[in-house]
Amino acid sequence: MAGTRRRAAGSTPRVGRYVSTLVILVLALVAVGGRLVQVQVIEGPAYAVAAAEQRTREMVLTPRRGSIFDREGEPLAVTMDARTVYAVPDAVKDPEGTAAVLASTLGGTAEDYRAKLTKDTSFVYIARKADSDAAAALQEMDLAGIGFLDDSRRVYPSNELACQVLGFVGVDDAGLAGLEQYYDDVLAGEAGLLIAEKDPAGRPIPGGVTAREEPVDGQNIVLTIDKDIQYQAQLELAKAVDEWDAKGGSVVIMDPDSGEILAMASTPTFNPNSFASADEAAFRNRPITDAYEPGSTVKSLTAAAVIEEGLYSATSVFDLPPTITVGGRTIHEAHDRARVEWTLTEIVTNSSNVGAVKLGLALGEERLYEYLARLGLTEKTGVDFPGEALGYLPPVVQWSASSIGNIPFGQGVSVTPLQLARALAAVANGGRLVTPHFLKSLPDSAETVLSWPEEQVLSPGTSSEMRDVMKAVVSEGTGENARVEGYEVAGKTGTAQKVRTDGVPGYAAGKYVASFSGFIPADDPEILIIVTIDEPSRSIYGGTVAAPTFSRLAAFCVSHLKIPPAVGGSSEATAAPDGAPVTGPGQGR
Amino acid sequence: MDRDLTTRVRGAVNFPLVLWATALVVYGTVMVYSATSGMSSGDALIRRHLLGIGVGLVPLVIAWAFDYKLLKSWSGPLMFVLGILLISPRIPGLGYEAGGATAWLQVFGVRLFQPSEPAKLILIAVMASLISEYKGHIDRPRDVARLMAYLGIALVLILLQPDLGTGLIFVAIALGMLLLGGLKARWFAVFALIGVIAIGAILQFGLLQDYQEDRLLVFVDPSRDPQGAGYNLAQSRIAVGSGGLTGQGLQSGTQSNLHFLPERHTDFIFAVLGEELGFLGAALLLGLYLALLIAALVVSTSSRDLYGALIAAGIISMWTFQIFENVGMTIGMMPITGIPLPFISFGSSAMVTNLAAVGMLLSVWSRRYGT
Repeated sequence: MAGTRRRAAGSTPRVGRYVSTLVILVLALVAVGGRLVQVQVIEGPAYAVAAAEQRTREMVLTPRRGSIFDREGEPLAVTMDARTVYAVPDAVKDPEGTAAVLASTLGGTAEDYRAKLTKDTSFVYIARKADSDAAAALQEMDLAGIGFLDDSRRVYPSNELACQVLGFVGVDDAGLAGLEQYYDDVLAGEAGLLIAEKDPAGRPIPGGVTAREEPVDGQNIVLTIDKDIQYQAQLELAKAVDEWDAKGGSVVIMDPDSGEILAMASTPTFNPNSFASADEAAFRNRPITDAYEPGSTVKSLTAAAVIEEGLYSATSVFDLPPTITVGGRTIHEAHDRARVEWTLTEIVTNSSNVGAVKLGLALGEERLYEYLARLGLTEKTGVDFPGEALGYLPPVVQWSASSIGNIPFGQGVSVTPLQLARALAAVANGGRLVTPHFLKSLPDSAETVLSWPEEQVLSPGTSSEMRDVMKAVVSEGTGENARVEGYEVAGKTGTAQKVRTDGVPGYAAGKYVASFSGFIPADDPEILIIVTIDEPSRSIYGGTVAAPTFSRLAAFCVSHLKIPPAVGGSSEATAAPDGAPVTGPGQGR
Repeated sequence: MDRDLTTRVRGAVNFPLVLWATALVVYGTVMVYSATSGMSSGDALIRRHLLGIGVGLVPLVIAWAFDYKLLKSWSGPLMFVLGILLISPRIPGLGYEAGGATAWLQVFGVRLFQPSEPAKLILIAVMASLISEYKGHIDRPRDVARLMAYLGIALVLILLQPDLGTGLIFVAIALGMLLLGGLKARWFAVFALIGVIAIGAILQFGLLQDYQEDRLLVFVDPSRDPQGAGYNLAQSRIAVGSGGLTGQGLQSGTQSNLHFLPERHTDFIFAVLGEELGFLGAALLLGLYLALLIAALVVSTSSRDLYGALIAAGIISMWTFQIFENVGMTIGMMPITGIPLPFISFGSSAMVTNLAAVGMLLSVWSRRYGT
């Protein structure tokens, strides 16, 4: 049955050729197989990583930023829904037309959009944090290659109100200035993460999500700022700067008892809703970031030190020559006068330089330095705000022979207005050095009690005596313009020369900082206000330039905060009935 | 009677060949299904693939039943048909251009098939006829020149499409057949020399299309232009590599389903297989191919005449080269060309041709005892 093969020689290939063929095809497949071992088994994990990398896109899920409220719950900074518009340039079919549509709905120029749409990339932002309504209109048009992401936008409903205090938030939701920056950790929350699979065009695959970590929204914070007082402070400051044609100015309003800052104003202002187009100089929160020579205001601190040391009392009498020479430098009064005999109170109310030097000499260098340091002039206040400046008070070893003749009345030393506010608060509140602060409460936090450090630096008795001395400044001294109808006011004027900034030692001619620092009600201070006007024209004196602003702000505060008038009558009743020597604004030095 | 029938069936059917070919067709169908399942046209594509298999069974059976020896004396007419087939897409109104080449035959706007696919089998029949005349001894230059002239005509016509990939298959087919057909060994050395000179000349005179030159340059240096010409290679290598030992599972290949892989159901289907079934799946495929090729080699050895042995040799050469080139290009061993993977890639013209080739092998096998 099995057929026998009848083959002629040469009618079939030789065996050797079959072996060669078999060898070739086996070698080909073995070579491929060997290469597969290399690629799949040995290098496989590396390729798996490469595959995962190119197909996954990590998208940050932005948490909703916490809002900022004033002490009465009024919103100062809130987060609104917004939409971020992006493009996948490869998928854009008609860059010209699309760019024109984008320009008409989102604003901006078609040319800018066209450049973005034709970029050689898989993803480009068209408009971040765009208005929700505009984005919705755009989405209706269903443009090829244009996509949308939920986003949020920081809005400051009161625009310029407390702008330097609040600061602002960048496009990536990080606080860039002010309290937005300082409390960024609390406000920002924690970002979530979406790990999505994407196709080669970079588009997320529907249903291709591989991991999602939800964001944690930021906490709200409540500030000590009072929106109404803040508004008034900015209004009055702007008026004063305008009226005196000044270079700038600032206001600090603080509760001297607790250190709560009720208002803080600086000029010029800006609108944090459009901070990008603002002048950066307007971002400075001057009471915290700018130090200046405080001048006469320091006399009240020197006086407090003398009383605390028990060297003299408010009624001690000093023999004051027209000038005094210390370390080879002769100190003059602001206005020449004859030799007088003044009490310590009168030294302060008349803002006598010679008197202040006498008080300083009585203390000596070491004790003068020690008291100014105890009152916080050598340290930052610890305020919860970024970028606090530290004033300048050199240690005694660096003092020259004439330093003891300058520092007692505020020359050769610099402070920020907030440092001065803190020192005066200690003088006013019974001797406690408090920590000025903006944060009132964290309503979303388990930690409900906030504690701010404070330290007893003066005795209550000294504080009480100094309140009387500073009352006299307003009732019968250089600060009469600071009076408030129905209330007793205590305070101190300041008229400080500005140090030359051109590198030459000495003071700049005609450049002054006029200030008034005071508190109300004088016997139980609830409000401390420091008004500083930088380089006023026409008049230079704190009692003339700054005191009226203080008076109006103090009047607003006591009315707004419903602080009852002094028991037993008006300030006129306690003002010196003998019409004490109010020698005019000229004395205010 | 039953015994006689059984014997006759055994005589006509090479069971290993049928088994391995069937296994490959099934494997290919599974892979095409997996590769196209994520496409919007996936259902239509898998139906067309199955239709191609069904249509291919017709030439398989015809070739099987047809006595291959009858072809031997028709080398003249067959050469004419070969020429017509290769020229047809270039005839105005009959060509359809895709991927830079006019490789499709189209009549009245209906795309029929790629003539280069059946042309491969016709070339095998023609070359087998010519080579068998020399009874296993080819050495005289004029004989070699005559054989090369026939091959040269086919090559020129295919390169006019231009279809470099099929041209390379033609060369591989001829070389394999000449090996079994008894060409003296020194001629292979001459061909190697000519090949090197030809490649040098092609590069020197810029005879390649730009995209072909890019593919060659990328093959030499894969990191060059990973977003452009190197993209296919980079993506297919990532796909195959990320399959690891066991793969990510059918329809689960991210490279494939997320559209990183180009031509994933046709030329790059091996990358899908490598990604989804891993090294084990790839090794299984190579094992099936080896089994199929050995079965075909057995058919060749069993042939009672040189002509039948050469036909089988041509088919073996065709498949071996296509497998090596197609798998090789996905893993960076070979430059990228548009050559389908036999029995696996989607494509009806190729499937029908491969099934017809199986029919031709069965024709040789079933007539091994003949009269």
